[in-house]
Amino acid sequence: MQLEIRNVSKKYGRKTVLSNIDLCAESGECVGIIGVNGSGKSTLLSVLAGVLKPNSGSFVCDGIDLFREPKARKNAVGYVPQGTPLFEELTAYDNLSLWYDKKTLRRELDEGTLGLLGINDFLKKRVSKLSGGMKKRLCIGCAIANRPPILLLDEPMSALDIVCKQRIREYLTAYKNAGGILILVTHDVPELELCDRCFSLKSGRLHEIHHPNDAKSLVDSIV
Amino acid sequence: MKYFLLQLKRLARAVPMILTVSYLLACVILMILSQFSAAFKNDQAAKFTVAIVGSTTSRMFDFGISALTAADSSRFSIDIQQTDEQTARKRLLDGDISAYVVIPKEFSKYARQGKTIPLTYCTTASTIDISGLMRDEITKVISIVLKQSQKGVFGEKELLIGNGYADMAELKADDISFEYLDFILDRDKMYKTRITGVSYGLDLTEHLMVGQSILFVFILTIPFSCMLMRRDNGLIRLLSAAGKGPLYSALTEYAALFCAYLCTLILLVLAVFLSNRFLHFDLISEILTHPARIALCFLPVVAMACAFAFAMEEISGNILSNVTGSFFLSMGLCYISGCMYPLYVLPPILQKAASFTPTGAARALISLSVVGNNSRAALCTVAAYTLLFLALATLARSRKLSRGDAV
Repeated sequence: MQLEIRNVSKKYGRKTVLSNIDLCAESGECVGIIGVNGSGKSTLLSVLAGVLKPNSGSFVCDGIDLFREPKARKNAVGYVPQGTPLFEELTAYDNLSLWYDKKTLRRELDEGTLGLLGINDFLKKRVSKLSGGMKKRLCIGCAIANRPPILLLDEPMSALDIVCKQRIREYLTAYKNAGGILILVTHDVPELELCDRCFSLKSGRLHEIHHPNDAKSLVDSIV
Repeated sequence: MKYFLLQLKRLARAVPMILTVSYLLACVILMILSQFSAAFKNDQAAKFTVAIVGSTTSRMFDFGISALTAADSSRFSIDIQQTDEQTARKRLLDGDISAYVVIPKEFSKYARQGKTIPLTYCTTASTIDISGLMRDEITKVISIVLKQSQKGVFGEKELLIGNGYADMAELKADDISFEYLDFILDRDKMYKTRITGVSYGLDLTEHLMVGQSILFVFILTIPFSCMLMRRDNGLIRLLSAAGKGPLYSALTEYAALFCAYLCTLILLVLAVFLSNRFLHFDLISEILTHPARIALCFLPVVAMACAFAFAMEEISGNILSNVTGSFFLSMGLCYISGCMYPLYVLPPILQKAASFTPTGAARALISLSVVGNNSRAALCTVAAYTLLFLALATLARSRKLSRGDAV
């Protein structure tokens, strides 16, 4: 499977946030995107997820333009937005039941991805009582209900402890190894270790970072 | 459907608490309105005792006083007692009399000359309520009738003397006075009273009951709309990515809000009806002359109130601004649409505008259902407002997403 993002632009009024973004990725690849606050990282993911409409461009996956085929996009793309896309007052099970049918949910919990994410541990707990890491795992669990081959993650490990980060990193590695494509937006340099290629988003354009471990060149590339 | 059921589940958590509080509130409102209704009815049939003090030695006063005692007997009766000012003041303060009128010393003398000197009427500050206003009005009537009868009778007597009938002036003046008295006593036969009510054929209590119900329906949506509030837009974004856009999520949440709220109201009404067996709110049986029609007319009003609350929830960014905004807007709308008092106290232009407000249209719809009528115009206005509020809510939600806020 191959993914091609071509000439994607997005404007808010007169302000250009994304300008002719081009990006390619293949099965089993993780692409990291970093940038300063307000550089348009979340907007890029929102556009790819179908939350925002782009002003121009295409998002082609196996020959299908997902911008023009919402149904195909829905099945192909999983999206973990920033924030908490959960019902805080309800249990983890209730939240999952929105995205899964009963049978699939049971199966996924017993032997599927949800089991791998460790959601069984807090299934009956109310979301408001869960830790940040548990919530994030639950968010990922909700996002992958359709078993999408492309997963868009908006700062999935921000404000989590080391154990939670490690658990999520393990799952994302497994997802990648299973042939999925990850597009990861982050502020944290350690998260970039997961990525095969890194880009910085600056002035609405993507610039590839060749040495993400070099702090100085990283800062130079994003500022 | 799953989203709807989950939203309903969220809202259902608040129902017991909201139901308990609203039940207590409803009972208090009903008790107050029942008391008010009883007091209002008593006032309408009240006998008002008014004292007259001062220079009342002239026998001509008897005619005026007799006239007053029987005047307007169709609406209220007045018992007039002559006493001194000190006693009158004490009795007024004790609540034995409603007011007293002071007749100045020179009153008869000036009246004979066709001149008017003012009478003083005294009442207490505590009578500044409906019965108080009526008492004040009666006291004013007394002043006017006394003056006019005095002036008229003395004027007639002077006319007779001036025309050479001095020997029979006294007798004829009495005849004329009796004619005058008969005329006053028959006054209630000269007109028919048709009570059209404060608004839409409702009397004041019914009008207030309808107004308070509408305010209650609007205010009670606030806790439910707060339950719908989200910490961020994550879920809306996720739903949007899953092909369920702002219109879908907004309408589903609204439907859940409406259902949860309607169920609460039904439970509340049942609880109030059950309590009525012990608490005896007479008002309920008086107003519910057409229960099915009233219940049907309440449905669109509840739908509109939910849409209003939902729009406020979407527009406001947090719980505090939602609660304060919804509360003050609901109160303001109820004030300008005459839900809190008779509409005629407003300036004419506001009276016209009131029927176009959401609460004004709701008031018209419910009021007409109480007297057994329908109003298509009011129903259309309510429906239009419901759609407008829903459109506003969806627009606000779309804007939140399209602005590209990170959360």
